[in-house]
Amino acid sequence: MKKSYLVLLLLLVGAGMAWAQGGMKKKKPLPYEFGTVTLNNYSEHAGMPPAVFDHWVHRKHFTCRLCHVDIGFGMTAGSTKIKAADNMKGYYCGTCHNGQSEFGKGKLFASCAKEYTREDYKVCVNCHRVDRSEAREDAFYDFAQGMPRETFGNGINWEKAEEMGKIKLTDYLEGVSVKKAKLKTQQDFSLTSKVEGMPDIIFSHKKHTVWSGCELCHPDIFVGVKKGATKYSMVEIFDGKYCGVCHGKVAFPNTDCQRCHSAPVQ
Amino acid sequence: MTIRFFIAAFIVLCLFLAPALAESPIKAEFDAACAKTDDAMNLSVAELNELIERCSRLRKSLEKEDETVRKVYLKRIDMCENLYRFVLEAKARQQKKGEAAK
Repeated sequence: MKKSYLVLLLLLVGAGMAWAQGGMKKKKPLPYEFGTVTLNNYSEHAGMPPAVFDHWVHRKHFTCRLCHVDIGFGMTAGSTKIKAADNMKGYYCGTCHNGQSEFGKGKLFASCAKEYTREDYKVCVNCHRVDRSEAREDAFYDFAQGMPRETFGNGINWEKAEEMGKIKLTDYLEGVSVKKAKLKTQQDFSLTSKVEGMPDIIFSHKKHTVWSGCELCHPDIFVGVKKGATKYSMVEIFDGKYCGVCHGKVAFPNTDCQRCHSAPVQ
Repeated sequence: MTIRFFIAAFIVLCLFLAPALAESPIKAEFDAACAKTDDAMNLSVAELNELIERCSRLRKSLEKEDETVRKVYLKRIDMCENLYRFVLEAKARQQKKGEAAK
């Protein structure tokens, strides 16, 4: 029991140190805000509010791989430096948001335009939002209601949602994705915890390869092919490196210890 | 009159198809070079080297493309080529270790 407290204390100290390096305490996002990315490379220069991207709206339909590998979105906010012209040419957001792509019962709105009327501006604010959108919040809670719950992040257990068939993720986009042979199922593996008493990590390689592909993580995030070749610590993960590139920002946060440290203690 | 109509229709058709046709060689070559990323671990050293070479050639041919196409495909080629290089290096290290063990 005492060991568990010690482990918890160490984790909290680690997390605190990582946050402290950021210079100020980060505000914990509300469930509907979790995974939201604000893009402002060029928006304000062009007289538009920054574009606000909601991960949850997209991840309920698509794998991470589809957008971050096939469409080419970077893994950190603003790193792709998307211009309105790129979208208008049918790349990035414009790959789907082109006013032509059918989705559900209708067509997806076109992203960006050189000229727009007052009426068109109502479409612009789908992404270029000034204020918080109550309709968006309601839409999130309506969607979340039917999903398996979890305590952290946006409160949705996405892994379970897929297992239960509540979401069906698209991984291929005609004209954009590369036709590939079916990916060989990868074996999950365990990683030894560095802290005594803390359960070892069961890494779901299978789930990660299906959702993310190989090239999203290797070699940019994890430089080793062999188990244990990349050395990292919880402090680095809390600092947004390694697992922390996704976990904490979009995928379930690192404070949800038992999601990874799930091996039975010997 | 009919011939003129067909010529005009042909020109209009060409104008519509031009962007698609101009883009397809890049997409086709990218597809050929990067279709094996999911199977990279099972490729031989020769196959990996050939694919890396193909990525490098594709990177050069992108220089003529417009800014957006260049940006999108350079990022995609980077990810794919880096993975091939990474697997190649891992294989070389493994081979060295094997030889040292003998």
